[in-house]
Order: sequence, then structure tokens, then C-alpha cells
Amino acid sequence: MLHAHRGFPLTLLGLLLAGSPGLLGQVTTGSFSGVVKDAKGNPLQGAVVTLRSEALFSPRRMVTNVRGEWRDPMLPPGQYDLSASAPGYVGAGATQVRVGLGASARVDLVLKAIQVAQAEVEVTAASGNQVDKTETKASVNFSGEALLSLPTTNRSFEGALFLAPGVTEGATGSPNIRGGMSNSTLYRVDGTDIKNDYSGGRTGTGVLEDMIEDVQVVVSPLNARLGRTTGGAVNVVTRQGSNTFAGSVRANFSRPSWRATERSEWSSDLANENDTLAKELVFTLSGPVLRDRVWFSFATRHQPDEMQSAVMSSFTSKSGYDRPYLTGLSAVDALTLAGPSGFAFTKFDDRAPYTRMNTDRYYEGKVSVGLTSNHTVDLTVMRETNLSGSRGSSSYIQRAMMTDQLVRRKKWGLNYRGLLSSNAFLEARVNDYHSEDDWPKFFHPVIGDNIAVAIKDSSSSQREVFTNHYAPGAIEIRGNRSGAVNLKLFWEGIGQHDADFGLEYYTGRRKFADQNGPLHRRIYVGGVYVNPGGTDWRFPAIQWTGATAYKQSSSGTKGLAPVLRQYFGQDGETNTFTRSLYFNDAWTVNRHLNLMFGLRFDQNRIGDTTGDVLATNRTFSPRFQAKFDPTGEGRDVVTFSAAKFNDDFVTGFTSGFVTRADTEYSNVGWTGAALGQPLPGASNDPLGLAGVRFLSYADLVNLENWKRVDPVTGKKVFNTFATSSSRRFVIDPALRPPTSRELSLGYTRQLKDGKLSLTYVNRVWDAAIAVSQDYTPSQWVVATDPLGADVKLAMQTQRIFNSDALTRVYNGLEVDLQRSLSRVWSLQVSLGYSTTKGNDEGGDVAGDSAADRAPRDYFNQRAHLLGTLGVPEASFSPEGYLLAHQLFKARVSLVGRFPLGTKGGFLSYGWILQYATGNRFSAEDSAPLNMQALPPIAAGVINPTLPVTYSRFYAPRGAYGWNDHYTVRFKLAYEVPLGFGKTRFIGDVSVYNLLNHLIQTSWDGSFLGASSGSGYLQAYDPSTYGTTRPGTVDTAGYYRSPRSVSFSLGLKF
Amino acid sequence: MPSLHNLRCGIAGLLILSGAAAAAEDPLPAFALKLRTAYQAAAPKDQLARRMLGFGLEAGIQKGAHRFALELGWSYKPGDQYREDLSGMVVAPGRGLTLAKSVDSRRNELKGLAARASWMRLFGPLSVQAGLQVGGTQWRQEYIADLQGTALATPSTMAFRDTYNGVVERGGTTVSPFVGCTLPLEGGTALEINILALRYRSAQYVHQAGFVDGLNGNVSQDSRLATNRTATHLEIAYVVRF
Repeated sequence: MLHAHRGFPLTLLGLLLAGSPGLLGQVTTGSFSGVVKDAKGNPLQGAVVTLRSEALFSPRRMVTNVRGEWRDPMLPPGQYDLSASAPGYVGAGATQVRVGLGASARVDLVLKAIQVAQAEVEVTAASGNQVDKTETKASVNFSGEALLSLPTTNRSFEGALFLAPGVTEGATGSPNIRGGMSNSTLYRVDGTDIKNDYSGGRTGTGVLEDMIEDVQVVVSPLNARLGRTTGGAVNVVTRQGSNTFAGSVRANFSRPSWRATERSEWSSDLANENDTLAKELVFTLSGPVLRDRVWFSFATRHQPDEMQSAVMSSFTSKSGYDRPYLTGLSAVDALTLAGPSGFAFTKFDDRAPYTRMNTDRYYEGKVSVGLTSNHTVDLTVMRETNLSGSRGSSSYIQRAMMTDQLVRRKKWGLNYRGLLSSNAFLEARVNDYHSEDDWPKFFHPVIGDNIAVAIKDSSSSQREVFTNHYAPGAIEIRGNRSGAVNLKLFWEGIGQHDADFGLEYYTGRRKFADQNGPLHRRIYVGGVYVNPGGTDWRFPAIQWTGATAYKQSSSGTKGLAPVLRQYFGQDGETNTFTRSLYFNDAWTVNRHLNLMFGLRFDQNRIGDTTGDVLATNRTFSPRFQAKFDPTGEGRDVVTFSAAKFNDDFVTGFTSGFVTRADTEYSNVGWTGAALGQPLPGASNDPLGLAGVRFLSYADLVNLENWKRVDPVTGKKVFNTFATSSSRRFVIDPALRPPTSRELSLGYTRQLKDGKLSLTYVNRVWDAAIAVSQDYTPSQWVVATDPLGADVKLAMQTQRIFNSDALTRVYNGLEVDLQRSLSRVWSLQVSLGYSTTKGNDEGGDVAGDSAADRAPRDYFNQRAHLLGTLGVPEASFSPEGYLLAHQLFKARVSLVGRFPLGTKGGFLSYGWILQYATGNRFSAEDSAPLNMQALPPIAAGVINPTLPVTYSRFYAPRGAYGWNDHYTVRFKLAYEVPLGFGKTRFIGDVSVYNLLNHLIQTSWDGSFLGASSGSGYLQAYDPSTYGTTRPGTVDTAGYYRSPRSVSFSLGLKF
Repeated sequence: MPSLHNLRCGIAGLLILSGAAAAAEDPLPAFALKLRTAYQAAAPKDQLARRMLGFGLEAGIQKGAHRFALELGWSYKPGDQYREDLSGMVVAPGRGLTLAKSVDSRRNELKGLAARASWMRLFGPLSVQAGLQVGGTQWRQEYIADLQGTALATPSTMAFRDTYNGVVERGGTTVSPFVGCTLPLEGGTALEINILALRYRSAQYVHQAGFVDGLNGNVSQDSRLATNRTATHLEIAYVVRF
């Protein structure tokens, strides 16, 4: 007779707890261990422990050692049943034990002697009844099943991050793990790195939610197996097949009108957007290919092709496109306003209707092969394509919007795990991720494909008109390849040792799409005229006679005189490399004390697009942890840890200073020399046009019209007037990625029906990467203009180096409570009181790259300001624009999971209350920058455009982001057995921000620098401040996160 | 980094906790975690929110029907950003403030480590308690302002622009009494309800406009106006005993 009794029911909490304590640094497997004892508490040697699971090809049998212990440290995540037997004893077991990703489950069993026991096998539902003292990192696990009931952002990475203690939101809502930069968080699926190496976050879909078996959030990568981050990591492992066929079909629905009004989404380009019902069909299937030998799992997503009506962005007078640029010369302006005969000034496709289309395809799968009972191999693959573009009949010039963009992403991974002996385990993997963006390419049928032509608007952004923005074949590529081998050994020696030896490599790559056409050339014009048939064009032009002459802009590129920008160089592929070796020993000294020692060695390298190595370094990262259990019963455990973590170079960082085709340029002013064009306003113009010419495209691109006669040499040279001022870098060859040091002190109490953890964490970042742009003599170099060897250009360099003057310190108190309230209700409370202070905000803003890793403007012009201009040091804030400063975060989740029928059906209610403090505000100021004391530059050398202001921050402030805010989320999820086979009706309804408490952003926050050099407070619309504000374009970004509703339904079989 | 005030409160709290444990008849005091929220029924002053949040770790000893407890925790009462009323602002002689073009944006909050000492009397399953909270009321005001004005005589030529920003902080070692009852729940948990008379001292930055032109023109005439307040809150705590 089988008798079962349960400590507490398998609620969400059970799912969480079972996988909660992490042991290892795995990214695809978990661990299961325990002790078998007799009724007197004596360990039973030689007892046979059997693990059964749908995740195993065959039952796994192990024999207990002299202390009654057994373990399997490399199990695929899933639900396990456990049984133990020994001669003379009644068997015992446990069911539904959750083994989470990278986590350790533990179940101790007691076998009663036959003569004293009733003839029944005792089976318990497993739950952690002890704090895991062998845990060597701080992490939290969520099974795909548990996430199904939780109303989180999604059921994958972000949803798990949202609930993990120690995770706060950065200024853009991106997660910061224990104060780490947003772009330092690693994201992996089945071991493949899908982190967006350029700007943080993750790339692409990554994984379909219905394919997720387990999600793990690592908030402290203490185990030396874990590297390449000073923040943390999120790992996902997908479902694998089994000996039985299973699958699901789920349709997800959402609609804009189901969302409360959010004005920040208002966009002129989408003013006519339809209230389209967003539909998504997700299909999964898994099962055997060869029973007990080869399994498969597969998933795909189908989204109907989208066709949305939209209108072209407006060429309004606000943008300066409704007439040619005016010069102030009445004769000239009268001519250009009238335009050439037979042509009319065009606003292109102003407000023209068009159709936006989007096509999406996604597939992923896994094949698992049981080579033998102890050796398995998984092959995972993913492919995603997205084609987006626009269609319209009225557009005959602005073709850039009418072309397609194709995005392809694919990944594969090969994972091997094997039991070499009862004490030796081997794990190896190779993973590859590849993403390419084939940008829209526009080749005008008449104009051709060599030179981009653009109009700059009044705010210095540009509107591309006759544009071939990307050259043929220009595809932007991002990706990485990684591999790892880990040998795990258990041995005896003053206690027990659990040791990992391993090596890893990681290569990130990024190839830039060659921009600005094959000639790397772009021309800015002051307007365009078109003939009635739309087949020919004219461009107004006067001679370029100075940066501010005739109302040309101060940079000289915007005005009636055309300007040619010639970019330097070619694009290529840049690489970052990390090679790592590590050793980690988790040492159980006795039942009171557990120690962990680890040492990790990383070699980091940056490869330029030219193939040159820009920087190489080596870093050792020691790790230590001690756990003390005063009673030895695993009820109360005090933990202390000290560790150093090492980041890696991300391509987003390196792309800021590697050689690129669009990073340096010279500007050339129009002369009209080949046309014999006189000076603007000339009264003796033979054509009677006062120095104005209406150019054909052939005239515009004729390089002879961009030359002048050098008065000294008498030679014809290009009329170059300025160079790029910011893109020549000097890299410290010893440059290394930032590191962080972590100290933590924690207490964990195993409750009767849950767990309570209190942890204090201190993290300090070192060796921040700094960018120094200055005007000291040593930072000037002279370069040759690519348009002509006789023109010398002064280029300002920037230094890239590590600086401890940039600081970042995190202090956090984390409280985590997990409780089962009843058989169906469970509670999780996650509180965090933390501060992130310092002046190193680099890497916190999504989309940041390269120089953004350094605090804004901290080093820019610093030497010039302090030395030459005598600006006091106090003007530079020790605490600058710190974006992650958040004091208090609370997450309370309450889940009730009610069984439906006897075939695994359920109905669940999930509630989450989130509360977070806003960020503090900052006082940034732009002060005038006197450049009169510049060192002399050699005669005949063209100067770059010099800055007129610099930014400074007033201490002691962080950046103000928004007020305190809270949201309430709700989700109803269900799986209803239909009575035939395993078929169930599945679905959910999810409401985000039930109370529609909007997060108000855009407050009066900083002294934004005015162009005049005097900064004044940017006040947001005082007349309607704090009100609901009518829906005008000015409200963009004012509020965010309104209530929204979505639902899904489908079948599971 | 924790402020000196918070460190003092923390050390004092830890000493009290350890002292209580040492003085107890039962050498092993019982611990509890308390997760708190509170609501101020009356309209709050100083642009603070009605809500208050916090948590604490309590060590208590039982003597018959009486329980004595000491708690160390953290308390936080936020405030949203607001615009200071500038209509009454003192302006330099001969000058006037242009209200339509002026803004003084502020945000206030109370926070800090809080220590509590309480006595509890058991009445069957229920209990009543009373005690004192020390701390948790550190005042912080952030302000950032940009004022524009004119000279009353010649508005077009004598316009001034006066900007200033900063933080006013004030230590919060105030004593706040509370009284309430505790309702036991299942599994070693309880619901604790208190009436808390939160006592704090606010400090407002008072600027006088138009005395200095330009950036961060805080002038010697500026001051900080301190006021003592008492704000009554209904407080609810979820208690986990372990």
C-alpha cells in the first residue's frame, strides 16, 4: 500500500522553494542530493536511491556512501520522483520534487526497519526542510509552470527579474541587478548568450514562453564558474521531449483600445493607426523520435502579416522644410522663394498616406539524445526572421520609407553532460548566436546610388531625401560564439569537497553596415524643387563663404549653401574575446560549517575592425563564502561572502572607438567653381541670379564645384572648412573591463512553511572605463583629408582608459519571504532598501554605447577647464548623473492555485503589488567654455568645430526620474481537463496596472544647457503641470505604463 | 552610504536588541519580521504622501502574559514632486517676480532607521501593545528652481534670472508613541494594528528672489524654516514570527 502525506501542498511556493537554493554555476542543468538514514538517525550506507522523471531517458540509480549521502549534480530541470530502499528496511520516497536550473534540490529520507514499521512505503511531497548550506551563489528560480500563474511582464527573462530580490529598475525601466549596469546583465537560453551586446537587454525573442522549463536569476555570481558580469545573469532552459507526445496551441490577443490612454505613445507618424487586434499563435510539440533514446521538442510562433495605415511624417514649418533656407539677402531670398522656372518647392511626401507592413516568423527546437544512461547530448536551434517595410503609391522621392528591413536571428547550441563515475561529472557546450540587420536600401531610379542627399532641419537632425543610406550589401551583424567545459569532482578530505574545474571562451562580434553609400559621401542641401511630373529636381545653392555667413548654421552644415560631408575609412567587423579558467571548491567541513573557495582567470581582448588588437588584459577574480549553521540542522544559517567579479568588453562599448567609416569626416563648402558661380548677392551675376544657382543633380555631385584656388599655392583644393571633432581614439593598451567587489552578510531561516532571508550587500565597482576628450596640445593630431592629400585636418583625439575617479557603490538590504499560506495560497514578499551612488552611470541607459560607459562629460575638457581656464574643482560633482539610484522596492505576490479535476487541471489567481521609490533629481548645468586659450594649430590646418559649453553637475545629487509609484497586476490562468486523454483547455487573462496608477515621468528635473551657454531649468508646461494634460505632442513621455489587458486561450495535449 | 544619523540609530538599536536578549529570563528571545504600511487619515502637511512604508526585525521576551520587545527597522514616508507657491516670495527691492515664467520644483520625504520598544499584554488569542518609536523621521527636501523677474521701473532692461538648487536634510531622532492590538493568524503569523502619532521636524528652504542674478544664486538672505509636526497614522503590519 502506498501511503502519501504531504508537508504542504505543491503550490507556487513549492515550485519556487524547491528550486531556490543554487549550488552550481550551470546554465542548463540542476542538482539533486540527499541523505538516507535509519529511524535512529544513523546514515544508511549502500541504500539504493532511484530518480524517475519525464526529463530522464531512464531511471537514475545511485548508491549511498558511508554517510548515507547520494547526489546527482547534472540533471535536466523538471519534476522528479525519488525512492530509496535498503535490505531490511521499508522503502521511502518523495514525489514532485522540483529541480531548477542551476539550483540544488535536497530531500533527506528515513527508512524504518521492517520489524518496527508498518508494511507501507512512505512517500512525501518534497519541500526544502533545510537551508541549503552548499549554495554557492545567490539566485532565485521560477519554473515555467510557476510563471504561468504570475502576472509578471512576461513569462521569461523580465518576468523573473521583476520578482527577484536585489533587482531595481534603472532610469529607463531596465533592470539593474544589485546595482550593476543594465548592460552588464547576461541573458542566456540553453547556454547561448542572447544579451544585446551593443546596448544591454536581450536581442530578439530569445525563447517562446510556452517552451520555458525554468528561469533562474543569479543576483550574485559567487561560484567561480560564473563570470563576465559585475551585475548578474538570467538563464533560461527550454523544455525537452520525453517518451510521450505532448504539445499545446495557444493564441495570444491584445488590442490598443484595451489599454488606458498613454499619451507618450502618441506619434504623428501613427496618427491614423488602426485599432488592430494583435494576434499571435504559439504551437509546441514534443515527444519521442526513438523511445528511450532520442526526443524532440519544437515550437513556432505565427503572427498574421500586419498591414497598417499610416501617414508620412510632416514636413512642417517647425522643421524648416516648407521653404528654402533664407539668407537675409533680399535678392537671394526672393529668388529661392520663387524657385526655378518649371519647378516648385517640394515638401516631399508630407502627410502622404502609406501602408506599413510587418511579417514575422519564429521557430525553435531541441533534440535530446541519450547516448547511454549516463551520457546525453542536447542540440538546440532557433531561427527568427522579421520583415518590415512600407508600401505606398504617392511617394516618389522619399523612398527610404518605402523599402524593407529584414532582420534575421539564429542560434544553435550543443550541450553534453555525462557521469564519468559516481564522483566525476563532465559537462561541455558550444553555442552560437547570429543576428543580422539588412537595412533599407534606397537607390533612386534617376538619382542613382552613389551619394546620399539630405536636408538638415532646424534642430540639426536630418531628413534623408535622395538617400542610399546604406551601401549595397551593407548588413549589420551582431553575434557571439561561446564554449565551456566543466569537470565536477566530489572527494573526501576533512569533510566533503565539491569541486569544479573548467575553461570557457566567448567571442562577441559586430560588423557595421557601411553607411552613406559606397563613396561614404553625403550632401546637405537647403531645399529641393521638383518638376510637375516628379521626374527631375533642382537644388538651390549659394557659395559657402563661412560657417555663419548668410545665416548658415554655426557648424556650417545647415543653410542655403550646400555642404558635402566626406567620411573616412571603411567599415569592418570588431571582436571582443574572453578566455577563462576557473577552479571552485564547495567544502562541507562539518554540519556547522561550509566554505567555498574559487578563483577565476579571465583574459580579455579587443579586436579592431582593421584586425589590430587594441587592448589585452588579464584579471583574477577570487571568490569566498562561509556558511555557519549553529545547530547543524539547517534551520538557521548565517552566510558571509567576499568576491570579485569581472565584466567583459562588450561590442557596444568597443564599437564606440573601433575604426568605422562614419566616425570621422570633413565638411566641404559649395563653391560652384565649375559653374563660375559668383558670390551670394552678386549684382554682376551674368545670369541675373544674384549669385544663386539652381543645380541639377549632376552639378551637385560634381566635385569640381566643391573646390577653390588656394591663394598661397595657386592650386585647386577642396573648400574644406571643418572636421569631425570627436572620433580619433587613443586606447590604453592595458585597458580592462570594469570589476566589482562584493561583500555580503546574510541570514536565512527555514520556516515550517516557507523561508525567510535577510541579506546585506555592499558592492563597489573599480576600474571604470573613462573617455577623455580635451584640448590640450597632446590631444591633437593632423590628418589628411580623404578628398585631397593637400588638405591637412586637425583632429582631436580621445583617450580611453580605466579610472578610479569614477565611482559606483551599491548598498542594499534585501528581505525575501516565501510562505505557503494554505494548500492553495502562497505568498512571496521581496523588499529591498538600496542605494546606488557614485558618478559612474555608464551603461545604464538603453541604447548607450561606447563612451556612454563613462559618466557624461566627467573628463571632457577637464584639463582645459581646470588648467587653462581655472575652473574650480568644486564645479565638478562627485556624484553625477547616476541613473540607478533607487531607494526602496517592494514586490508582494499572492497566488492561489486551485486544482481542477484529477488530471492536472488548475485555476489560479495571481496578484502582484509593486512599489518603488522614484529617483532623485539632478542639477545639470551647461557653463560657457572659453576656448580662446587653445594651443595654436599649424597654419593651413583646418580646425574642427570647437565646443562652446561644458556640462557640470551640482553635488550631491543623482538624476531625478520619477515619483514613487505602484502598480497592481492581476492574472487569471487556467487549465481545464476536457475529459479525453490529457487534453486541457488553457488560457489566461492578464491585467497590468489594474488601478491605472500612471507613472509620471518628465518633471522639472535639470538645468538643460541653452545654446547660448547659459543653462536654465527645463520646466515642463507650468500651466498644466500635474494635470491630465490634453493629448498634444508635447505630452510625449510624460506618463507611462497605463492599464492594459491581454488574454490567451488554447489547448494543451 | 548610511548617514551618521542612521548609523547612530542602527548601533543604538543593535545595542538595545542585544541588551534585551542578555537581560531576558529566557536566554533565547523570539524574533519576528514585520512588514509595515501606514495611512494618514488627515490631510498630510509638507507635501508628504498619506502613505508610509517600512519593515523591522523584532526581538521579544515573554514573561507570563506580558511580552517586551525591541525592534530595529526602517521607515519611509514619501512625497511627490510639487511646485512651491511663489506668490508670497520675498523679492529684492525694486524688482518683481514674473510668476508665469518662474518655477520652484521640490520633493520632500521622511525616512531613516527606526528603533521601537514595546510592551504587549496577552488577552487570550488577542493582545494589545503600546510603545515608542525612535527615529525613522529624517527629513529631506530637494529643490530646484528657476525664477524670472523684472525691475518694476524698467521691465525690459532690468530683467533678472535667479536659479538655485540643493538639498535640505535634518536629523530625525524624534520619539513617536503608538498603541494598538495584534490579531494572530495561522502559521506563526499575525496582523499588528497600531495608531502611531508620528512626530517629525520639517525644514523648508526659503529663498529670497532677485538679490543675485545667474546660476545657483543662493544668497545670504536665504534660510531654512523648521516646524515641528505630529501626523497620526493607522498602521498595519504583517508579522512573521520565527
